[in-house]
Amino acid sequence: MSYKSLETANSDKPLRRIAIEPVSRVEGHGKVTLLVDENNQVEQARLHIVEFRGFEKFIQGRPYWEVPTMVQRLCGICPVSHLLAASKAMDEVLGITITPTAEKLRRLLHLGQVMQSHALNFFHLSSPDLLFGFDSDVAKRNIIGVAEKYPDIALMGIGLRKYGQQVIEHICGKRVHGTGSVPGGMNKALSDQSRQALLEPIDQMVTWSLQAVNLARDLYTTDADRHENFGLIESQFMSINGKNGVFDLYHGDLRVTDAQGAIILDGVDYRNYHQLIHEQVKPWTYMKFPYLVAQGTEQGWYRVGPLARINNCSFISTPLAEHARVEFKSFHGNKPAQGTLAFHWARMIEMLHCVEEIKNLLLSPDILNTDLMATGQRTGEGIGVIEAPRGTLIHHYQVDDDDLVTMANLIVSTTHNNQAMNESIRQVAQHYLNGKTLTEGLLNHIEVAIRAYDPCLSCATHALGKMPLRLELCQADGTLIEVLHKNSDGKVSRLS
Amino acid sequence: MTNIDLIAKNSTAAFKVVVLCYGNPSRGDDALAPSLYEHLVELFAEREDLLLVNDFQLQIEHILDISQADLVLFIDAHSHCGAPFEFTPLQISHQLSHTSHALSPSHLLGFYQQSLGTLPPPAFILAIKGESFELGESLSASAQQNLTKAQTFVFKLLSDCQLSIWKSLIKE
Repeated sequence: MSYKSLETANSDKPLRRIAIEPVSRVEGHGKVTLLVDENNQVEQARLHIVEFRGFEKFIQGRPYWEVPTMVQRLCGICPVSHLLAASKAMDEVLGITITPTAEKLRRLLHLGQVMQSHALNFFHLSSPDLLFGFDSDVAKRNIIGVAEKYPDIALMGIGLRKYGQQVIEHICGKRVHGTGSVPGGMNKALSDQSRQALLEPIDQMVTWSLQAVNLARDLYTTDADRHENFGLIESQFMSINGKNGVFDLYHGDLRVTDAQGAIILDGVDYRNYHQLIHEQVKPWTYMKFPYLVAQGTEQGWYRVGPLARINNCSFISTPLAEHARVEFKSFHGNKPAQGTLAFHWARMIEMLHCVEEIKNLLLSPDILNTDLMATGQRTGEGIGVIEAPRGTLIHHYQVDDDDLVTMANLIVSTTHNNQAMNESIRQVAQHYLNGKTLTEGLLNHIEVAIRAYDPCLSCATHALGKMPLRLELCQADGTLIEVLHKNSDGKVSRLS
Repeated sequence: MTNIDLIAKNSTAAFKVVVLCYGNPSRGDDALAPSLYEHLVELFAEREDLLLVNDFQLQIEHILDISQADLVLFIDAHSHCGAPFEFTPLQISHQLSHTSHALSPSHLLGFYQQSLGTLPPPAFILAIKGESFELGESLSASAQQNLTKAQTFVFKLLSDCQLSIWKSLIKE
């Protein structure tokens, strides 16, 4: 039986419902529900996420210049991504091509953001699973445990994340929710003092990023069969790419490749996204399912994010990351990597690129220039797209003659990956959970698959992976059979 | 050179005293510490021995801010402390914070010791009494009064940054 059949149970047998809520060590709140029969065969597996549609309504009626700063509040982890996507959209509303220095500063800001977010996901949230084992002692399976057993690795992660935060702080004035990028450009030049402060440790960051790539590679290639097949699904991939297919996180055209790596769409102006992508609604979740219109709802889903970007790009402009990309591709037989855990290896290649490119930009002769704002011919609509840490992020606004927003549409990275995350957890459920007595360790396998996507489910839920978790087994009619409870100190108890 | 040495080398802590304010400025009296931070920046931004840090919450990265400091002062709003504020020394804790949404100062110090392999610098917390922490609210009137008194106290602390002096002010 294919794992794909697990979207909706097709069984006349009595089924038990199991809920993993909340999914831990991810950004925000989500839950997984499983339906299992009397032999613990999984009949249905679904990931449910509460999305922030309210923001799109909230933005309506606000002046356009407030929007980039306002939408940062969507998230405490990747606010810069929303700031930049909204800024790009509002540039279009103003009919502006920003100045070269303003673009460089925005790129610098974005690279710092991606760097700190990737370090957070890999070191703080995911490395405990990878270093200790998916079903290892839950009390140790967190960054504190990593610091105890592998202090150098923990400190490397902390140092890398800290540096990314410092890049943001130097440009925006704050580590979280600062300003900097505004419609039409940037509102503050980079000082020479900041440039020097960021250049001083940069070579150390390059060294650490290289070590991080090697660590992610070694963790993946050790026991390669298991890691390649964990959460293995076959998908298409979507990303934006720069000219000639160069890896570019800030700007480019849309490219889609199929599961074999053939380019099926390329050079698509992202302003036509609404002709390319539609969203399907399913009754059991608040989050929509985007799909390529030309392929329909069944075949048209795809993945975004680090794995998509490294699979999709033709090359990376910085030498160390390009070398790592070639090694990654070679390991996968120059075909797209499809294993869910390959996200981590791809993510660390991206972080290495970020550090290399941050250095390039800081050494750029015009990075300290003060010509940061441009003017243009006002229009009424703008679409801004960037590659956020978790994948393609689309902001679309319409603005009336009074400068007020009349329409906002946001498609965030996690939404693009909705179908893929569901497919991955079904594969894991079928492979690892079928017929077994469900334990915290087994259920963590599901969470490991979700964490690989680094979903941003909402902000401000937790940081260190010690969320309390309650696992309920119920009859199909809702009668409670058994409860497992994982406390915030990591201890698991059986309550019934 | 190990990563621990490199962290120390690359850390921001050439500062003798670190003041770490944390709280959410959009949540009523949780803005007490960020508000105090703004006052401190106005007055002390030029002091080369002093690092002023403001953040929404404490995270493990903050160990890099306090490494190599001689004295650390955490400032936070608190609903259960006495008014207008309480100034107390911090103990090291190796137990995770209950919610783990963020670290408490004691847990941060514990993580510091665990990660860097050395004792953290002497640290104190100034807990300023707050009453209402609702989203979108501004500072309450009583919190505003507490802030003014706390501000005066912090100026006193920063006017003489010696451990013995700070200890002598614990019961104030």
